[in-house]
Amino acid sequence: MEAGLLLATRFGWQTSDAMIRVVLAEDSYLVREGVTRVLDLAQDVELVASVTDATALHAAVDQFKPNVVVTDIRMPPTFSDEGIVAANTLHDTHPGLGVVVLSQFDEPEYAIKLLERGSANRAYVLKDRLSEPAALLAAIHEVAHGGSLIDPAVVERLVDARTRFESSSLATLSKREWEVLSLMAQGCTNEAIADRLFLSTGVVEKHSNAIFSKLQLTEERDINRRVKAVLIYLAEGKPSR
Amino acid sequence: MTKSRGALLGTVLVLIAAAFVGSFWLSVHRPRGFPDATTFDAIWVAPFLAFPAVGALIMSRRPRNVIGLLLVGIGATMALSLLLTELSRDLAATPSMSPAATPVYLVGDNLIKVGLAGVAVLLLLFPDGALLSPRWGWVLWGMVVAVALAISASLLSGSRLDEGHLPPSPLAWPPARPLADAMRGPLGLAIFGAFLVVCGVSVVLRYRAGREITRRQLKWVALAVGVFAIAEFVTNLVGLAHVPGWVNQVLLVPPSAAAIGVAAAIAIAILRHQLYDINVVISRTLAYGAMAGVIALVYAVGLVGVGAAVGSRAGSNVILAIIATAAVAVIFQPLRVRLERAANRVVYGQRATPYELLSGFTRRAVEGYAADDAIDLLAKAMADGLTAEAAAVRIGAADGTCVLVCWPGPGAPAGRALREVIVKDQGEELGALLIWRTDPFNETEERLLNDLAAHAGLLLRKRGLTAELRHRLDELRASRQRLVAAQDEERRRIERDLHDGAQQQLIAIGARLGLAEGSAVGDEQARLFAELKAEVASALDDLRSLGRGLSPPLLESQGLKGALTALARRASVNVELRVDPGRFGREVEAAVYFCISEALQNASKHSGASRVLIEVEGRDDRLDFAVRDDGHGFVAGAKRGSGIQNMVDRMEVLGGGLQISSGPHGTEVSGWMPLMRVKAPPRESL
Repeated sequence: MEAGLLLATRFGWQTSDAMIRVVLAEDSYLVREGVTRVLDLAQDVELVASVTDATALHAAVDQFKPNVVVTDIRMPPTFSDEGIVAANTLHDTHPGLGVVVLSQFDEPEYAIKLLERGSANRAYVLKDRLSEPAALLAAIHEVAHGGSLIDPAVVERLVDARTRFESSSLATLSKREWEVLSLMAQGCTNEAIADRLFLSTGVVEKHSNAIFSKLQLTEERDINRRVKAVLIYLAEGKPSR
Repeated sequence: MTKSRGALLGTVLVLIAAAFVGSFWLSVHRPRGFPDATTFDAIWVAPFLAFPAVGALIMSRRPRNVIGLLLVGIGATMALSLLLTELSRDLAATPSMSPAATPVYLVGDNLIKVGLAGVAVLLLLFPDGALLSPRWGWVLWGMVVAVALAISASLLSGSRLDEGHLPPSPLAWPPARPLADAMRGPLGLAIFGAFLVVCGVSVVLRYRAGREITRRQLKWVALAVGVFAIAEFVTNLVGLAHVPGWVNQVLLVPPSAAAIGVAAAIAIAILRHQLYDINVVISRTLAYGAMAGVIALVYAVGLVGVGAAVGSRAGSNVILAIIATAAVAVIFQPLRVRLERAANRVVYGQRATPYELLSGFTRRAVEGYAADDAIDLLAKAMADGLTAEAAAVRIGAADGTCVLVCWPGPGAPAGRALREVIVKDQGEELGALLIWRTDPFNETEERLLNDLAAHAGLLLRKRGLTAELRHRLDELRASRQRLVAAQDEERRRIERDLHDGAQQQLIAIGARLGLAEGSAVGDEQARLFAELKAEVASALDDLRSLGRGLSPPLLESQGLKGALTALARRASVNVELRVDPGRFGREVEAAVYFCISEALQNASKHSGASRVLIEVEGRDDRLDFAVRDDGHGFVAGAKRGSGIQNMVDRMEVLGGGLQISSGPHGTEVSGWMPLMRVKAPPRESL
């Protein structure tokens, strides 16, 4: 497959402030097509460039100055985890730039690595989610506005593993607290959790306090740090660092 | 040696002897009231004479030998010095005290310093007449400067000379007096002592760096010096007790004899070291020295101790002496055997005489001692047993590819070997034994050599077979390694194909279903879309776990820690992990992951375990891992699946190993493998 820039710039001059400019990095033609079509659905999302490897991605980011990068994990030349390496590099070179990692792997280890330098502007979404166009678009909007999002399937895998065996502090959580905890891990704010669970924000805050005291975690007011802390707790069964 | 040189040497030697005897005569016949006749005792003339005599002997055989020249020089200097010193005292003893006394004394006294410096130089140059390395030249020059300083000090000092018997030097320069006096006293002594220590260090270094020959030469002299030191010590010790004067005179005999022994040892070391085996001499000296000590002790205890206990009566002494003699006679033989054995161990390590050495060697060779080592031992046995300069075993025919194993090495000495014995087995030439020695072999040695050649045939045959076997084994291991590597590569390729092919297609289908879903009409169609999407998702899940089973992508990107964490999360038992976060190279990680996942699967499927502990610890040069469960273990001898064999194979291919222990309270699978640890991952660490 030819590397480099696959030109897909359209209507660049019409971009308004509200427009979210997206650069896509994906080496599979089929997936590229799928993502392009999903992005076509949204009025405020514009695909400005498509590339097939990490080197071309950095060039395209410099050239097209996008708001959001949507990237595959495994790309040429080493087919390892170029997408996540690129996301971490972009954290330093382009702070504030949103990155949605489109992944075929449901192991939380990749998501945790993605959040290594903070969860702001970062989303980890399984490619399976392409069958629900709204999910990918939601992730793009989330990272464009400084939020974060972890694919529910990934969080579910963690929660499954944790609930399968008796585990010291996690075993003390109620069913409702589990629901709140997994939404926290997915990157939801207290308001979003309240919306999803049809609760008031106050009640969610109470649950949140209870969870953190039961898990003996320092409560993170900063939503971005909270995502990472909860995710690592779920993955490793103990507070990080 | 030419006649004229011989005559010259003889004259020098006679003059030296005359000087010693003359000074002795002078010291004895001096009028009373002047420094008396005890400057040196007649008994010391012989050893003093022995050194130049040995020097002359060496020079007569090896005219250019530096050591010989040095010995003659030191002897002449010392003799002259003694003669002049004694002469100066005689001059001083004349009624009018001759004015020549002081200058003559100064010359004589300073010659001693030159002579002593010569002894230090001897230490630096022995045995080959060359410095250990050019760097030691500085010590030589330092010594020249120190001697010059000492001479200047004696000339410039204003003190009275010869313990106050003689007026001061005519060249006395008062301002220099304090320093000059210090130089003549403790400072000078300290400087000379320091040089002596440095020269001693040179000898030690020479011994440590030296080849076998040098070591043997040094051993001769070390033995003699050791005997001399012991004799001196014993004499002085006895001298402390109040013994009659004649006993003191007699006690001077052993140290002076030992001093002559030092001279003789130097001669042997330089001229004849190849003829006698110093190690035998040392071991005999040790054995008989110790025996003399024990016998003396038995006598002493028998005569004094028992005598005192019984109460000394007239006539009982004779009986006690007879008893003590009988006791000595009884213990003599077993004592000799024991002490000889002990002395041999001290000197040779394990074996004793060359014959024992050879027979011991052949026994070990036949027992199948490590074959490579045996060849070295053979070369060493030949060199030691035949007191050869060097010995070597040639492996392979001379006209083909051959290897030479030499002792003392490194490499064979220049020049042709004295003897080359072809080693044959069943008519085939397998190699040869080579000996470098100057003296021809006697009959016994010839027999010895032939015996050795016969044994060497078997040895070389065995070595050839071993080498071939090892080569085949290496080949087998390499091919097994290639097989495993190819299998791993194939698994990775299939995983990648699944990821890039079928999975992407399913994802694309899912995406199109998602897009088309928007235009679905009615509940029927909506349900159909939902079903199709669920089927795609389930197919994707299946492909994902298939790919993970082939080669987990996490292992490649995050190493054992990440991959094992994910593996543990999917396990049906509670898993605790203690995993080193380091990276260890693709093959090692793949093999360890394979074994651990296999062991974890066994534990969760068959053992009834509720908890499993997985440990991986990487050290500098090896990686250890263990999988422990609390299940009921497996019954010993029960049919085991191919799983365990596969695990063992994967470990052994990389030079590691696996151990499985099982009991009613659980099973432990532990393995290890050698490492070339990857210090930092080649790409950015995530």
